Amino acid sequence: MNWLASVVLWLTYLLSLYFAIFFVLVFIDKKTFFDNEKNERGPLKLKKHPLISVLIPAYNEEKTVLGTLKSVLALDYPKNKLEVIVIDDGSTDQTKKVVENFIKDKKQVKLISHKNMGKAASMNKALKMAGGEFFACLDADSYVEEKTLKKMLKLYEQENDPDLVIVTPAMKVKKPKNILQKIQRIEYLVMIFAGRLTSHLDSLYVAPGPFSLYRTEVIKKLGGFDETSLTEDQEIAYRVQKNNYKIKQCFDGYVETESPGEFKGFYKQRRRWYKGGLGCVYRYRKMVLAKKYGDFGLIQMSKNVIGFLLAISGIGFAFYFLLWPFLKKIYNFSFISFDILPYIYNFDLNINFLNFDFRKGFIVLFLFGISILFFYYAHVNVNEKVKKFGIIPLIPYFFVYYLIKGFIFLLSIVELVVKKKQKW
Amino acid sequence: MVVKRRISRGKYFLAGFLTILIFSLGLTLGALLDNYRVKYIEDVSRQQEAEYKSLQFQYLYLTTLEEEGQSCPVLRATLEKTVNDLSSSLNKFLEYEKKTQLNKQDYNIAARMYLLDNLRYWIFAKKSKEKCGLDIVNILYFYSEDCTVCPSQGIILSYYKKIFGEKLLVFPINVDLEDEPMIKILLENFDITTYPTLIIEGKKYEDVVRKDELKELICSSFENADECEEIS
Repeated sequence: MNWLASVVLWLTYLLSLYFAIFFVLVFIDKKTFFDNEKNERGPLKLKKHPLISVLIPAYNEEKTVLGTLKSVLALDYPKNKLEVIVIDDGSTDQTKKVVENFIKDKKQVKLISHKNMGKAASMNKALKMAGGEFFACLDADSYVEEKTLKKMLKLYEQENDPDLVIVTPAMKVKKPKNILQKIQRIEYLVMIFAGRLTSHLDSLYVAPGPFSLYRTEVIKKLGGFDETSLTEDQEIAYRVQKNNYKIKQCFDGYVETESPGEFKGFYKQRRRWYKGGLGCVYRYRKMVLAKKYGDFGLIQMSKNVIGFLLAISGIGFAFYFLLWPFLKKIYNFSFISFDILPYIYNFDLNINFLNFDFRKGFIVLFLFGISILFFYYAHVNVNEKVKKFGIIPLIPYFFVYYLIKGFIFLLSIVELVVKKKQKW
Repeated sequence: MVVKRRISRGKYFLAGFLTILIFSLGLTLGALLDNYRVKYIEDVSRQQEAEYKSLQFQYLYLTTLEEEGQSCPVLRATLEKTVNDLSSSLNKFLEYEKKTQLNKQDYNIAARMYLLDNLRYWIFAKKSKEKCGLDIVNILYFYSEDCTVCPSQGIILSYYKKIFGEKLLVFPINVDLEDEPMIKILLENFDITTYPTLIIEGKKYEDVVRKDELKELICSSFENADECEEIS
């Protein structure tokens, strides 16, 4: 058992190191990564203004739907080239009424309403009505920035590639208030940066729900959104990759989204993401290490699969090396009635660098260094200061957040396995 | 539709190369550190040898040339320091043992050396106590690695060690070191069959001695009852 743990531990370190270094190489491949892309784009002037459809699926969003709608109508784009379809997915609150009142004098906005059938189904229904050359979806808890649409269309013009069928936005957390939201804000910034790197590899595997801009014709040809997947925004991206179309990220096409402020909501959201993610990886498992899908198959898919394994072993080791000794210590202290004062009075700090396990420590330090580097550039990437919300959110972000996520991930796997068994 | 998708082959290999490079750099540094550790352990044991010689000499001087025992405070200080050094060097040794590729044999030898050191200090402490009238309490602590409740006894002992400092001397005896004949002698001598067992000033206590109980036993062994007063 001991040697097995040892082998798994070393494999975990090695694989993590490999992927981290690989992405550092992607990062330094383009010199002046950040300036280049802005310069290449030039001024935000479009040659053509194609018709754009924006779909807003809403289920019980009476409080936020108008904000979302207003942000769409405020987009910097000719009004007659923008059609908006709000889909009331059988809301039981005032969503329908609120929208009806708001759009009375607005011809470009349509409202459809039906019995609750889920987000993917709602979008497919609206997609049939959508006349735009491109379409975007915008969840009713997200808000798009004024210039985002133009930036995305500019990317389509620049690439001038009919195989480019999704342009993804850079998703930020809207006005984080509590610590959980502030941590998520950091996480989203890192995800934007990771997305930018992945975009360079043509290996994006998520088209975030809020305001990804799709080429209507191709998405229709591919059969629209998958109504069975828990994360239809991942599933569509995998499907697009499988059919050898392209996905690019618009690095500064900002969309803001509400993030859960309580643990329960956070837990539910992540559980859905993980279960959906696992489902997608399983469904597209044949792409793993398949050469014909290029970097997506070789690096991204294997990273996704191994990422899950790393998460499992990571959480296992965290438990074994941190939590278990900690619990043991607590248990031991019960024998001295938790009287730890003598230990504090007679504390002798016995730090000796010989105590340090250099073999593993070296790799861990290296990994930590790379994550700090990416963390820093994730902020440069969006022109934000690292300490925008002080350093307090950074501490849990680096030291406990990923453990919590890992734990939720484990629970999701357990749930998935148990459900499977029930079906059989 | 046949599409040739890009494969960043160069990056795959470069990343692999760098991974192996960093990996082997870590291994090399680790091996280098192992050497330092072994050297460190050797240094410590040489130092201990010198301390022990000094102690023996002090005792000899005390018993043959001095009448009043003026050197007792010095003897006591040396004894205390040596026993403390011994336990901290054991901790380091155990720590290194986990991280260093020491082989089983080396480990056994080092552990036996530690055990014997402990025993000779125990005997020494008993003799010095008689000769100099030191008000200290000696505890022999027999434990086995298979014994699940022993760690709790260990923590209680180290707790009182923190409180009483140099007045309490604890000598842990790991009975798993079967190669060592001294263990057999002690086990028979004290008729020890279960673990943990404590020998406090010659008296035997089997099973875990709880916190309050142990305090009683330690306090009643001091000649000067004031020693325990400050502890509530």
